[in-house]
Amino acid sequence: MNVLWTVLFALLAQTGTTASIEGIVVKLGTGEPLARATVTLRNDNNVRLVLSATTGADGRFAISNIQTGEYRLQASHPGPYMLADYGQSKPTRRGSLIRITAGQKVTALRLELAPTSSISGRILDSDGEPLGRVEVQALQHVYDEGRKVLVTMQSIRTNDLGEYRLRLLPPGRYYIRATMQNPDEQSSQIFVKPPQERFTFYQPAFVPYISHRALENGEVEDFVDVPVYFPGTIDSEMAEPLEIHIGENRIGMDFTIGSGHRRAHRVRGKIIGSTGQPVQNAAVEVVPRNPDSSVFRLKGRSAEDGSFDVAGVVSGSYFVLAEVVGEPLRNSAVASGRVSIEVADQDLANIPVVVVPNFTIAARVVFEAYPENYIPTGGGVRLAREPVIGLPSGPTMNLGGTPEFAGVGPGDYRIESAGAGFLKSARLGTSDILIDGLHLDRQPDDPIEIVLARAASVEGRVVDSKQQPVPNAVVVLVPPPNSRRRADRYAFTATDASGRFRIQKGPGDYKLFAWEDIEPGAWQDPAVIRIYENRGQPISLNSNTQQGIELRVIQ
Amino acid sequence: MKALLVAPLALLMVIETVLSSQTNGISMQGIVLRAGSHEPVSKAYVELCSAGGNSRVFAATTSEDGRFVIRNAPPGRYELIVHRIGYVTAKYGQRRTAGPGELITLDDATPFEDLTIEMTPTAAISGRIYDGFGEPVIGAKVRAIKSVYQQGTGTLTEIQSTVTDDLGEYRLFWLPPGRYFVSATGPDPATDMNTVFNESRSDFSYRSSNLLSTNLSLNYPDPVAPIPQTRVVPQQSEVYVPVYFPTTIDRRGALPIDLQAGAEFNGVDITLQRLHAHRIRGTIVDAVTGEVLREQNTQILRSHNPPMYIEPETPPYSSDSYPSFGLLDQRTGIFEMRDVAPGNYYLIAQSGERSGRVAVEVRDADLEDVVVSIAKRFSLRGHVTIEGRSSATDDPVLAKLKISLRRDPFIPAFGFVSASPTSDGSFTFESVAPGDYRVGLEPILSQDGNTAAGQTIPRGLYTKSIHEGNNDVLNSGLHLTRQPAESLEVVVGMNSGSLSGSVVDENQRPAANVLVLLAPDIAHRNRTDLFQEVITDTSGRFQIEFVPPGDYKLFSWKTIEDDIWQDPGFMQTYENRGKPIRVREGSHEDVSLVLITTPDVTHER
Repeated sequence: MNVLWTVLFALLAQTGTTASIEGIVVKLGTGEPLARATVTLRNDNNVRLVLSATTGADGRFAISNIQTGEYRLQASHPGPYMLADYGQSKPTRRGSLIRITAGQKVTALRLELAPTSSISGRILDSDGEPLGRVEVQALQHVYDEGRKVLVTMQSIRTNDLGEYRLRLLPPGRYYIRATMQNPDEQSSQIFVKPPQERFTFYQPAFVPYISHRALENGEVEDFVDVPVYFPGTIDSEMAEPLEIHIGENRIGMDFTIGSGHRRAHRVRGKIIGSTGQPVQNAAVEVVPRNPDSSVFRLKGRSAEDGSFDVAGVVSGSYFVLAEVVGEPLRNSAVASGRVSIEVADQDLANIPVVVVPNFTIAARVVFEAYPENYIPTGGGVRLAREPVIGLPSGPTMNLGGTPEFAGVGPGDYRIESAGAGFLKSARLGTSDILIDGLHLDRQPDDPIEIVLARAASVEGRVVDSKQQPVPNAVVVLVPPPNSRRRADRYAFTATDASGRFRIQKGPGDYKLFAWEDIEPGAWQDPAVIRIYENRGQPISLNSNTQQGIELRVIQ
Repeated sequence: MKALLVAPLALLMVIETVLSSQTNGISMQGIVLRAGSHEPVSKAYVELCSAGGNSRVFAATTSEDGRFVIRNAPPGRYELIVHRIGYVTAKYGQRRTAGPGELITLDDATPFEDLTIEMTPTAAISGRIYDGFGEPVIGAKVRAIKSVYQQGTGTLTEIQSTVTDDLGEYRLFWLPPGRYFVSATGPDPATDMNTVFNESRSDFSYRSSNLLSTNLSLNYPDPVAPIPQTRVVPQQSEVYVPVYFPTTIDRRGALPIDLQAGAEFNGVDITLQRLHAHRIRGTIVDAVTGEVLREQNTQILRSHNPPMYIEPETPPYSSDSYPSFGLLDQRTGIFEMRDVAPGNYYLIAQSGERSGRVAVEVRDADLEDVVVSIAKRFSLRGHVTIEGRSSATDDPVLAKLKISLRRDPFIPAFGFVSASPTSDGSFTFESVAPGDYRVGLEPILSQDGNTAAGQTIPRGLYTKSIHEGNNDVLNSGLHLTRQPAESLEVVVGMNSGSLSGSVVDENQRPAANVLVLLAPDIAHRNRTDLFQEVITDTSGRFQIEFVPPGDYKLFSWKTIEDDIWQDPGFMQTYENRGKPIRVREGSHEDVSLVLITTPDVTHER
């Protein structure tokens, strides 16, 4: 379904300086008029200028006294319907602005509300007994750094009959994940966003629930409950997606989460300083080397003799990270260390983790294409720790301060702009750290050489095969192949009602693409961009604004 | 590390959460059954917790036949607790559901082989929430509420809450049996992104001891405030108000749901109501200088009067669903609250050390020109004497005493404040707001918070008298309107009496596991510290130690709602069934009681 919107403009009469609109809100598919829908008209330039109306029993609405301007017209409903955004090509897409001029009287507007969908079923243990208070989540793939990752769209709990109902869902491809909870937990949280907007929430890493079992030989085994994906796998790659259509109520999606009950191991060792002395009170964390969307966060702290003991680790590849604050070692307020471990089918003991004082890396920053004597007022450049778990963090150089990265410990980093404009290049010695990343065992001898360039812009419009302007097209600036791994090298925007766009990015060579419809971020996926490679228009951005670009939309 | 537990049966999982080096202990075997039937309960988690200081825990899970074995527990005193999803947590030796358990003494001589523990299944309530158009409401908040009595005040307390799904349906579950009310209100726009709700476990019963920990107590005084003047201005909006099952916004009209063990109570549907909302405007005035406050640090908020619900783990002033701050215009000194539903409220103002509150009722119009007076609080001094002991300082008994102060009538959310006497017996409550109070020895509630008032620490001590000048504060309460001129004189008695007795049913058979209530005579019913309750043992006997001298009545019931005897209306029904008894200093009385048969204790609220 490409066009959900039938809009008839009728310029009837000039009636002074204000305009009015009227129309009907109906249910998508059936065309049944919907009463009690709220229709809002928001001025694009003045957030406080909002006019609204409620539909009557016949689904009709009217708004008058509208001043000239560009508006966003939306309809919502207290029932299980998605937000309707005027001009959207699909219920999940953003709409476009409409221009209303003085005296205009717009009639026969038709807004179609798409019903939401649901997925329901039961969560069972390996004996087929229903499990209550299990966390059940609806997940979707999104593109992040060119990689498809699963993000949580909704999180609810089963009832005492083991039943769940993921609800108010927009259509799409969903994965379902269920996680057994600590039975001692007294209260629970659910995250259900009304379907008015697409949303995800930041999912902190799981703190696992660890249980124990004593064997006949006297050994004690630990277990953790890891998330299980529909139809019953702990491997997110093996998870079966559910294609959910507009208004679909998928029932009977029962599954067993017994496979999530995994044997867990302990990782024990000692935190020591560079001269071999035990370091107490270090924060120790065991993190997966390749974190996926169901990361466990396993934490511990070193004892007086430097020893640590972290429980709940299932087999896999991990880093043991240690960080100690408060002058444990001479000349440093913070020291840190990291070792790589493999956990197979047994506990690990005697893992030494050497912490060394954090150090400072000097930086040299060149501002390209900025006015002479340019002094930056804000922003910074960050060394983000990898693997990124949760939100990226790491030492940040403030452009307004001393050109250095302070408090850097051994580890892997990538360099990124934190509001500092366009990071054109970053080198350490002979290494291009923009492409290769930064891998540190100790303080490097050389400074990091950074070139920050001023953004340039390109303007144009997107047309279809009949040379008609395409509103709401997605316009993407794609960097050359050797930089395509880096999300910060891309830029994208959407065209306005007349098909126009303006996009800003640092100087360099790019290709410009325009899609009528594409999943956000999919252009970072090499498999996707390969299909469209020759439809891109090469463009070289320099400090001047380029205008008059005409792009043919990819349909 | 040495692991010591051995699983004796292949099916059985034995879990030890704290490892010890002990290797040859005592074994214990038993069976877990569904209460009222002989159906075994499998997958129940049995915990043996040492009662001493070291928190050693041994555990096992029951097999298909409901049996469990725990081996190698070292000798000692233990509590045995059984958890199972869908059942109320059970303790060994419990005489009633959710009542206190008994300790088990493990020694080498007596292995426990045939322990039987009965578990009470939980219940569920489900239904649908509709709006005024008959459409299901998405995201409506639904609460299971119980009346909890404390210090003679019955308060609706949220036991569990949930939200409706896209069909407007909800299900409250794992509820312990009991008498519930269900209320629903509309979706809260502030929480739709991140809905936190309290889905309690079956063993979670809201205990008054939770409230004891509430520290913020006396911040909301009642200074004398002018009667607000009202004038009519146009109305603006509508707001959702809580509707109690089946159809009422007045909680007194709510229909209780008596949930039996294991019951499913379906079809508890509620239609939401919206009421015209109003505006409250007024000023905050210093009670001494008459100055209108405009400072930025001045806060004004409203809370329901009385509090609508007590929600676990929320600050006292947000004890209803829409705690609301007002906006103070610093230019004009006028505060404004919008979208206030009709009802009774306290407006509470605070500015630095000054505070004050005024009760208002919003009916069918906006409230204008409300004046909230605020004033600094008082310092309340007193002195404790222990009868029969020299007035020497550093009395060790004195050091264990605490004097507590609470609002009268009791406001659970505000709790208590307490003061410890210094070595010469003097004590001070700082920062006491004007208002009515009760003074007593702490704790006014017993340790488990669930049962009798009146137990004091150290045991045997009781409050004999409290005077402020000629005022009998112990029996008449403390009414503070200004800084008190005289010190509170507290006399503590040490020579309390005691009671024992037996309860028989109408057929003269001993009544085991029934409740015995010791209540003060009618003239002293407001002395909540004089009530005590005990449960009879298997031979129908009971003992009450440490009874302050005075006139009492004894009552005994088989099944009544927890703490409902704190409701004067309930007591009135049974007043002439009580057995009068006089307790003198150091006396011991033995009493025979006949069980009050209560075919139906339903009473009008």
